[in-house]
Parts: sequence; structure tokens; C-alpha cells
Amino acid sequence: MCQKISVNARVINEENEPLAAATVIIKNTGRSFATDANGNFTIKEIKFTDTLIVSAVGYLPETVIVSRIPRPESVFNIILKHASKLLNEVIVNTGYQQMAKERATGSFEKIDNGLLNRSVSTDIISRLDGVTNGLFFSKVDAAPSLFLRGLSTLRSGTQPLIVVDNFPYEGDISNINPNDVESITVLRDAAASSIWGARSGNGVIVITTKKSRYNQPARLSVNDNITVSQKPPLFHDPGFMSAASFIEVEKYLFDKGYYDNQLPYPMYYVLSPVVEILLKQRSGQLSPAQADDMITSLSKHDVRNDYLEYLYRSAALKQTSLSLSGGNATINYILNIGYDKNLNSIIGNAGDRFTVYSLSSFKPLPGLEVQAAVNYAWSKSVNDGIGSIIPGGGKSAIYPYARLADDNGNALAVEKDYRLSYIDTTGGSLLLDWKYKPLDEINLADNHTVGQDITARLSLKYRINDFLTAEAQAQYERADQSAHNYFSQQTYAARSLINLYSQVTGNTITRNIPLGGILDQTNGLLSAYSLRAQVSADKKWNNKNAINAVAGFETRQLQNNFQLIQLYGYDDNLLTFANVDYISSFPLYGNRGSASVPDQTDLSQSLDRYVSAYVNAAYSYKETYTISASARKDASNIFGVNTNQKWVPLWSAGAAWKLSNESFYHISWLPFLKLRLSYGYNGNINSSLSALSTIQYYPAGSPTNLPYAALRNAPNPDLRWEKIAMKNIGIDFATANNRINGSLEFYFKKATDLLSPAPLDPTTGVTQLVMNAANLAGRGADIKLNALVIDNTIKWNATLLFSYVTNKVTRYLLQTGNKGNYPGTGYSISPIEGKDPYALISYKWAGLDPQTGDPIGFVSGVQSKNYSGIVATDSWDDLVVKGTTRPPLFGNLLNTFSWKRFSISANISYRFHYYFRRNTIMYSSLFSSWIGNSDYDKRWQAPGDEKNTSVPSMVYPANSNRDRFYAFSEATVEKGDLVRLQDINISWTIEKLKIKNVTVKNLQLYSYISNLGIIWKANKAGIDPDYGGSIPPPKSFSFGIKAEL
Amino acid sequence: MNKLITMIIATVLLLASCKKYLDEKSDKSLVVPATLQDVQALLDNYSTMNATYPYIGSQGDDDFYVTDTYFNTLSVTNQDNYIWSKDAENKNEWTYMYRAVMAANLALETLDKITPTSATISDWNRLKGSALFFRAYAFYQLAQYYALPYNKATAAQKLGIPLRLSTDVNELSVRSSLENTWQQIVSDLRMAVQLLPAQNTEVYHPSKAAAFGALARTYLAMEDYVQAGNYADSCLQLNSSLMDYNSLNAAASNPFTRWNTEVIFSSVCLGASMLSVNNWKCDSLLYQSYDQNDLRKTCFFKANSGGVYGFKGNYDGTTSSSFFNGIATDEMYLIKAECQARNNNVTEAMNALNDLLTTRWRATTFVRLTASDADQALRIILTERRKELVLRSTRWFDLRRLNKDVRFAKTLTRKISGQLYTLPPDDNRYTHYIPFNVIAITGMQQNER
Repeated sequence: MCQKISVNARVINEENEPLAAATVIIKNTGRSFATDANGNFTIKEIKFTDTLIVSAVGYLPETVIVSRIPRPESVFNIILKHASKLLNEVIVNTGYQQMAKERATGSFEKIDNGLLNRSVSTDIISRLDGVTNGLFFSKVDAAPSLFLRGLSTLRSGTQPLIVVDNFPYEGDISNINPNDVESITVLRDAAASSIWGARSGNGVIVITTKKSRYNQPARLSVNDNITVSQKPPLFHDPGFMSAASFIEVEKYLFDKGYYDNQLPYPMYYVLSPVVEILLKQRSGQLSPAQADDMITSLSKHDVRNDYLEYLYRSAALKQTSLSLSGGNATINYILNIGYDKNLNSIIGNAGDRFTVYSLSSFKPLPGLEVQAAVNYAWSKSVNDGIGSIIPGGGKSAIYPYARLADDNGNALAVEKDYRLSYIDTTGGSLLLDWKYKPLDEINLADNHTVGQDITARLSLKYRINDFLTAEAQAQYERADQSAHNYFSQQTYAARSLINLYSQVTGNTITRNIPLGGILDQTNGLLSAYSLRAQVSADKKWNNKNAINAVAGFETRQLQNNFQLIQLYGYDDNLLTFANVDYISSFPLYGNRGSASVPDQTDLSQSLDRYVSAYVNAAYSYKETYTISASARKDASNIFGVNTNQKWVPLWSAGAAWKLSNESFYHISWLPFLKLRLSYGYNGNINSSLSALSTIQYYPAGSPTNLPYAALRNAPNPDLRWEKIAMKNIGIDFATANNRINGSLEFYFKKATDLLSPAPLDPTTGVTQLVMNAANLAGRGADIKLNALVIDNTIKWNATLLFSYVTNKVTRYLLQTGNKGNYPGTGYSISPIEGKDPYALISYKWAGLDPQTGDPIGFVSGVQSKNYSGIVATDSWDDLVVKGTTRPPLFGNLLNTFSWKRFSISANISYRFHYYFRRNTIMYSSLFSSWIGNSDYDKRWQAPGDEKNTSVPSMVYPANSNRDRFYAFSEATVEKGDLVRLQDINISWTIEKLKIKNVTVKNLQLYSYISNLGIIWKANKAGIDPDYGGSIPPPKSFSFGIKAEL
Repeated sequence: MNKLITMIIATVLLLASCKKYLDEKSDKSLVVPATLQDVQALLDNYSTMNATYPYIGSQGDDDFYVTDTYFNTLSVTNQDNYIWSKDAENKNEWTYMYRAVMAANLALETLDKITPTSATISDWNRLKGSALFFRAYAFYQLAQYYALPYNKATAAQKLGIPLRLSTDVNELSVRSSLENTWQQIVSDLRMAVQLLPAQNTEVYHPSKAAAFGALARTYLAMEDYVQAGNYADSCLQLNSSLMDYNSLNAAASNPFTRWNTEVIFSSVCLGASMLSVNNWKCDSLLYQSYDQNDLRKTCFFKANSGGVYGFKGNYDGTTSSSFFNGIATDEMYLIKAECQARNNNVTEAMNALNDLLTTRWRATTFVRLTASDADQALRIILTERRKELVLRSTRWFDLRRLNKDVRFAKTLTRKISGQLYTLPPDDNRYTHYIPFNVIAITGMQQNER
């Protein structure tokens, strides 16, 4: 007993790497030792019965009983496992370094693999929706846009910087297969993101791809799923104007003689079938009874039925992914192959994507690790479908009783560009058929886009000694995309253009656009490279002090080439085309004046270059106090020369205090409590501006008859990045046993030097210039709570995300015209000093005139029906600012219930305290452009109606100012607040399943249902405000299987 | 490891050559001026460089009046200029002149980056001379409107105009001293003289003769009559041709042609309807001062109904209200004559004047004028100067200059709807406000008015 022995051992990680500066503590005595550069340690005198506790930063501590250590001389390895495997030990990735979230001073939001795989989608970014605290997805535009912690710019991009592994991803992010992604870290504050310098102003999203490990047996996994969506819910559009109402208006206008001026100009004005019937009735070709019959039969049609039958289908998406990974002591690899096939809801539109992802690491020499990664994506999308029919000829929407096919399903012609009854007969038989049959067009169309993206990365990492590592990385990305839009001679587009440029004299026809097809070929090529050299230090001493630092240089180039080629008389089979005279002006058919042949050919090339240097360091004392600082300087060819020369970096500083480590801390129910504080700067760039003086050439003019040039862009050597200062205060906490944990964050943003047009001192020779002139302030809070509500056979996990954000323009120098221009939909940024950039501004509303149903507004604070005066008002007294169209309060509640092998989770999202403008009837648009709205049926028709409706009476002739006033008045503002059941995921998992000779380690069947609809909403108009007046996406259902061998 | 070191070295080298790396343009289609052709094209921008000169002076001079009815239709700015209102603000003129300065500076900065070869040196010199000329020519206009009249004794203490000599829009505009303002004009023009060809085929392009002419004007405004006379003479040595008005068709709506033989450098003012042939009414004393045999009486003036006369003799050859304010030989004869008189060379002074007037009178009717002394010569010459240079923008500058001399000081008066307005000699209102937005943005000192 009590025999003292000596112990020799080595501490390594799972990758066989020695862990220097690991701590070895003898449990009974508390004596501690540190490992050397090779991970070795020796303890001279130790009791045979003692226990060692071995720990290292980023690893799980390991307990070793001394008696188990073989003696004397053979090397005993103590393997420490990566701490990331530990619950709650979250490793975040900044793209420059990985660190434990627990020791960070910045605001990081980590989305792990489980959460990312809860939803099903072909792209990775949409999987962040509803699970990322502080990230808002706006869907009011066709493509969703992301806002991290509100708005930080007025005129530059709002999208956060997307980093894939260590470098910004320049290609189309939809090329990244979500199955290749391990986790995502969102960098929210300056301490987290300012290392990304001039491009980090909107926040940074770091995507970490899957990696294999050393000493891991080969593993094969499969993920396969199918998603089916319903047809779009066209009948749920509350604004749809019925055929009966539309025809009623057409008859009204006909009686007023509205169409009479249009009759002589069939090449300018399209007329609807009802108007054509009324004309025939007037000329006696049809009896009133016949006409009535025809109109009644037309009124029974609803174009939406035809849309759903002929233009739309249930969308289907099939996704397959295979992954093979493994590794031995010196090499590891992962190879993923993915294939997606997508049939869109619009018939004729489809997409395919094939992706290959491979990453291998190996250690040719002690201390040296080489990593090579290749990401390849091929994609093809076909866009032959027709989503909606735009008649043209002044009409923006199709009349509601349009028919696309006859009773036998044969394609029917629809009014397009020119009056149908005119093009039917004009030109005799000399012109090409001029009719537009949408259903035929879908079959004739040949529009597809093919893209390829290859990204290759090589990195070398060398461990110089026990605390210094040097790293060099290079990445090259090349993406090409070619869009082939071929309009054969049979297509309407080709026939119509050829006809328009034809001249018929007697029996001869001259065609200035040759017969044959038209090709629009677009080619884009992106090439980018990045080089980085970095040194990192990781040292711990005296058991109390720890330092973690990186410093490096980086250079990047991004080049974009674009060309659009247009060919006439093109034959896709022979690749022949005709030469066209683009210079001469030709008479257009039907007295439409004259014009030269459209020439879309266009070439452009852009080049962005950056040179950067950065440093980031953190020092911790006793694992209780941490301070951090970072600085980065970027120079670029898009900044002014003065900006590049000044050595002014973007910097940040942060501090963290783990209160719960303090000796005076005694709150037992809250064993983990940490305070964080950070301050720093981020930048945002806009490569569409030039700091250089540029000139524009003009053709020779009077009186000199010399070509000349004028200044186009004034030189601005001070042109620089937009600067966003952010202060962040965070609290992280966890209750006993981690039943409840979470974080509270408060932030204050001040964006200065925002690019905006500003008046200049005219002495400079320029009166206005887009320059670093505007400011924006923002503040908000992000709160996240995780609770294990029930921890039994049934487990109930709840995650609440809550965000609050407001923005205000604090400086904007340009005065626009009248304030009467401000009212709008509030969906685009309208910078007004002192207001939210998305403020919803309306004309003040005084109701309807009880006698006439005229809307009443205000001019200079006095009630008025002077509509041109109202819309041109220059007084805030006549306007009302009602909140913002961006919800300041939003978040999600994700509940997960699991029982044995089953798990079900539902994500509920909510958005509060915002407003939107509903569409309404604008008579001028209805008359001239066929844009109808069901509010027509609610219009004022007789005195007394004003008590029940705000929709003005219909007047003839229509007054567009009267329409604009009502449409953008307070009366059409609705509260947006809503609660939505975003999605549900159901899964059944089984571990270790033996089928014949094959052992399946893990098998999961899952189902995912999304777009389930709104649970509660404030507006009574039946509108889903999050889709900006368009029809929300239909419900979709996914079923899948995941297996791991 | 070697690879790593190589890469680090490569990166460091890259950073060292960073400037060149970052000089590449971000959008290939951007035309960043870089060639002599670009510079030429910038200076060939006629509307910016030759055609936006101020008409403010012509609206305030004593050669004309407008009717009450017409006055009431004018914009506030035009009314203010006409009655010399204290509130008058003329901001477009400032903007347009500095726009020309910007173009000239951009031309100069572009030329600085081009190393001329033996084949291009003459073009390079001509373009540099042209840019300097244009800059000085614009500064001259600005100084005549937005700074006090030059007075050698006090010029160093008084404020001139901001002298913008670079294209950097971030540079704060600061007013220079009045002395520095005029010295800049002189030095730009002197350098231009060295660089420009003696004459150009196109008179809207600056030439050595034009630079001499501009120097003569400049020194005249500075009341350095020795230099002014010398430069007028240098100018006339390169071009002294005068039109014989007997060969003109006085009945034409404008008897003169654009870029006629007297024009050395062509520039015109912005159009102002107040000055058009129907609205501008010639001061009756001025009109009567032309002899019946003086062809200018019919070549310059059009009889309008009511016995009033409008001006039709625009040297730019058009009937528009954009009047010629460029440099022509007749003005050079008059500067030469005035300077000779002021320098006591009565004979030469009268010779210069008579050489000019001979061509203005009906053939054989002109009797050469004589003067008994320098003072009389000066009086005759200044009278003839006013009569020759109607609506050439010179009268206002002459009033500013001559007001300092009690012999020629004059109080101007206007009468609108019975209300009398006066402008005494040397009044602050001879100097215009710097546009208010310029003051607001830059904080520079405003003129007293």
C-alpha cells in the first residue's frame, strides 16, 4: 500500500495528434502537471491507487486510474475526445478559427445538424428560417431576402456574407447541397464578425461542411426523400375580381363610349371578347339576344380553373444523397454525391442538380496536415412554363373569364399585344399567323439554363511547436452559367416580331427580320480565387492563463464576365443564323411608327480585388474572465485610393465574465451564468460604385460637330465601406441539469457612411454624388430559451426564439420631391430622416363623401377632394405614418416531443406589430389595364354605403390621382400581426438494425410538412401579409428515409 | 513548410505591389480618362467649356432697360439682378463655372499620368495649355461676379474665390485671397501661353492668341495697364483682322456670322430672355450716341415698335439670347488704345482706336478722331469701348473697374412701376452672393451685399 510509482503517458486526440499543454491533475492531492509539445508527461511519484484527471481546451476531460497505466516503459496513450460531442459544449466556426461558444465574447448562433435536417429543401439557406435567432426572412419579394438584426444599409446589399468553410462563397448558394453541410454558425455582433471586415456589415453566415475523422471505420449513409406540393391556392386570392363584375364594368365603359377612341388603333389597343361582342351588337351583326347569350356564357368561365388545369400541377421534388466517409491514422476522407430532381408547380418548369463533394485530409509528416476539398455542382433548369398570362397592348392582367382551351382541350388564342380581330385578318395570308395560344407556347418553348460550379480548396497546416500553428490556404472557384432561350419560328415571340418588322405592299411582303427562330443566349462566367496565410497561437500556462490568437493575410479576386448574344433567323438544328441590319430604322407594321431591329447583345466584365490583413486574439484568466480584440484592414479596387492608403482597420473588442465561476456565486439553481459585452465595427461594400472619375462619350453635336465626353462619375478617392458600429450585451445561462438554458442579447447599431446620393458643394464641379453620406440607427434584442419541459419516457423540448428590432434613418441629405410621393407599399427602402426605412406612409383619410362616394383627403391640414393636390402634398399634416412593414417583433416556438423511437416537432412562427397595405380597386387601372380587384363589389353605390365601406364610388372618366389617393390612404392599411404553423416534422428512428448480413447502424423514416398556414392573424381581409399581396405557397409534404451503414 | 514560406512571401510581395493590384478598374466598361483622346473629348464638350458663361452682368448694366409689364413676368432671380436687389442669388452660374473647372482639372490630372512621346508632345502641350486656359477663363468669370473688384493695395486682405485645383470632391472648398485668385488666373494663362499653338483652326479651341487676350482682360481688371496693353498688343500681333462693317448686310436679323474673322476665342453666355432682341431696350442716350454713319447703329440694333431698339448684333452669329462673351480683336484694339492713353501715348492710343473705328463707319465717312491729351483720349476711348462691346458681358466689369475713378464713376438707376432703384459706384452689390448652399455646406465666408 501507498507504494509510490512513476508514470509516463502521452495525451492525444482522436486524430492521433499529441495535445500540448494539456492539464493532468492528481485527484487526491490536486497537484497538476502539463504535457509537453509532444503531449507527453511524466509524474515521478504517484500512488498506485491515485486517479488522474486529464483535460485540455476543447476536449472532454478524461479520468484515468493510475493502476490501469501499464508500466514501465511502453507509451500509454490517453485519448481525449472532442468537446463538441458533449452536450452544450458548442463549437462555433468564424471561418478563421473554431472556438468553444462557452468561452467566446461575441454573439454566435449555432445551428447544428439536427436542426438543419429538420426541414427538407434543395437549398441550405431556407433551412435557417424559423430556427435562427435574429434572422428575419422577408418573402414579400419573389426571392426571399435575409435580414440579420434588421437593416444596416440603404443602397447596398442586405444579404449577410455567406462563408462556406473558410472563404466567402461567390457562386450561387443554391449550388450547395444541404446534405453536405454539417452545421452553420451565424455571427451576429462585431466581436464575432468584424474579422470579416468590410464585408461583414450585414452579419456573417458560416457554413461548415461535413468532415470525416481519423481512425474512423468506413461509413456509408443514404438520405432519400420526396416532396409533393399542392397546386397553388389560386382560389384563395381574396382580391380576385369576378367575371360578372368585370363584364359589368366593360358594359358600363362601352355605354360611355370608352372604347370608341381605341377602335381605330387595333395595333395599340387590345379589346376583350365582351367588347368585341358589344361592338358586333352595335353594328347589327348580332341581335341583342344573341349578344346577351354569348356574354352570359363567357361570364360562366373562371380563368383560374384553366390555370389550374393547364398551367399548374402539383410540384414534386426528389432528393437523393449518398455519403461515404472513413479514415485511418494518417488519412481520412468523405465523398458525397447528391442528385435532386424538381418538377415545379408551373407546367414546363423543372430543375435538376447533381453535386459532388469531397474532402480528404492526410498527415504526410508529423505536425503537417494537408486538406483538399472539391465541391462540384451541375444544375439545369427548364423554364418553358407560363405562370400567368400578361396580354400586353396596355393590359397588365388577363380578364377573369378568359379561356385557354375549348371544351375538347384544344388550345385557344388569347388577346396579346394587338387586337385579336385585327391580326386575324390583316396582311391577308402574307403575314405569319399572329395569334397567341398559351398552351401551344408551353410546348414550343425552349428555355433552359445550365450551370456548373467547381470550387477547389487546398490547405496546409503545420504545427510549429506546442502552441503555434501556421496555415496556408488557397481556393479557386469557377462557375459558368448559360441560359439558352430559343424562340423557334413557331413561337409567338418570333412570329410577332417578324410580323411587326414586315411591310406588305400589294401582294409582296418585305421582312426586315428574317424568317426563322430567335436565339437569346446568355453566358455568365464567374471566377474567383482566394489566398490566405495565417498563424495561430493557442497557449495555456499556470493553469490560469490562456491565449488564443490568429493573424494573417488574405487576397481575393472575383471576376464576373457576362455576355448576351441575340441571333435572328436562327435554326437550332443547323446552328445557322441570318445577318440583320441593326442600324436602319424600319417602318413597323400597322402604323406603329418605325424602329431599328432590337439588338440585345451586351457584354460586361467586372473585377473586384481585395487585399486584407487581420488579427484576432482572446485572453482568458481562470476560465472566468475573457477579453478579446480583433482588427482587420481591407483594401480594394472598389474603394477610393485615399481609403486604401489610410491604415484604419475595422476593429472590435469584447469581454466575457463567467459569474458562476466566482467564489461568491451561490445560486444553485442557476449553475451557469455568463455576461458578455462587445463593441466594434463592421463594414459593408457596394461594388456597383466607382471611386474613379469616369467619363461618357457623346456623339458629335452642334455647333462643333465633334464627338465629346462629359464627366459621368466624379472621382471620390475617399469612397469607402459603409461602417456599422455595434454594441452587444449578452447573458448566457443554464439551470441545474441544463433543464432550461438560453441567452438574452441586447444590441445597438449605428450605421454611418452609408452610400446614398447627397448634395455636394457645387464648387466641386458636381452637385450630387452617391457617397458615404447617410446614417442609420438600429437596436434590438434577441432572446433564446431552451427548456426540457418533460424528461420522462416522453420528452418535451421547447425552444423559444424572440427577436425585437427597430431601425431609424438618422441622416439622409437628399431632399426628394413632394412628400406626397412617399405613400406606397412600404416594401422598398424609402429613406426619410427620422423614420423607419420601411415606414408605411399613407394619405390621411377622412372617409367617403356621403353624397357622391368620393374619397376625402387632406391638403394643408384641410379636408379636400382636390386629388392632384392631395397626391402632391408637401406637408406631413396630410400624411400618416403607421408603423413599419417589417415586423419589429418576430420569432418562433419549436416544440419537440419524443417517445421511444418516435419524435414529432412543430415550429410555430409569429410576427407582431407591423402593418401592410392591401391591394384595392384602382378604377383607372381597371379601365385601361384590366387590373381588377374584388373591392369593386364593395364600392360605394348609394348614400348610406359610406357607413359600411371605404371603397370609393366608380367615376367616369377615372381619375388616377383619386385612385392613387385611396389605394395609398390609411383606409387600405391593415395590421399584419399573425401566428403561423410553419412546419411539422415526424420521425421514427431505429438504431442497430440487422437485415440479413447487413447491419444498419441507424435508420430513420421521416416526414416533413410545411406551409401549413396561419393559425391566427389580425387582418380580416383574408390576406397572408408575408407574401406581399401574392398568393402564398401551397402546403407541401415530404417523406424520406435516412440510413447509415 | 517550404511551400508555406513561399506562399507567405508571395502574399507579402503581393501586398507590397498592392497599389498596382488595386488600380484595376472594377467595371471594364467604365471609361476612366487615360488617353490624349479622352482629354481632347473632355475639352471638346462645347456646352460645358464654351457655352454656359454668366449673363448676370448684362442684366445689371446701364446699356438697357425693360418695360414694367415685362419685368413683372420675370423670375425672382432675374428681377433681383435687374434692380440690384440685396437678395439676389445666382447659383447656377457658380455651378456651371466650377463644372468647367472640374473638367479642366480632370484633363490636367489625366495629362499628368500620360508621359508624352516625341510624337505626342505637341498634342500634350496643346491640351495642357487648353485645360489651363479654360480653368483660368472660368476663374476670371467667377472672380468678376463673386469677389470684390481688384484693388492692388487691399487684394491680399480681401477674399477671392475658392481656387479648386484638383478633382477630389472631398477637398473642402476654401476662399483664397483676392490677390491669390488673380495671381492664379495670371499664372495659369501665362503657362497656357507657353504651351498653346499661336492660332487654332477652330476658334472654340484655346490658342496662344486667346491666352494673350485673356491676359489682357485680366490685367485690365487688375488695372495693370502696362501689362494689359502689352498683352493686347501680343494678341493683335497674332491676329489683328477686323471686319469691314460695310460688307455686312445690316438688314439681316443678325448681320454677323458665328466664328467670324474677329473672333479669337469663342464662348457664349447662357440664354436670358431679358436680353433678347424684343425685351432688351437700348438705353436711349447710348443709342443716340451712334452717328448716322456709324454702321453699328444698324448692324447692332433692331428698331422695335414704339421707337425702341433691341440688340441683334450677337457676335456668335445667332438670333438667340445666348450672347457672345469670347475674345475678339475689336476688344483687343480697345484695350490697347485704353492702355496707351493711360500710359500717355496719345497718338498710339488714338491710332489703335481709329484703326478699329474706320471699319465701323460707312466707307469714306469716317474722320479719324483726335485728342488733345491723355485724359481726353481716355474719355473718347472709353465711350467707344462701351459702344463697341454691347452685350459682350464687358460693361459690368468695366463699371466695377471704372467706378473707382471719380472721372468715370456712375450711379446707375432703374425705375419700375414708379419705384426708383439706384446702384451707386463701388456698392457692395457689384459683388454677388456666393450661393447659399455653398456657404451652408462649406462654411466659407459670405460676401457682403
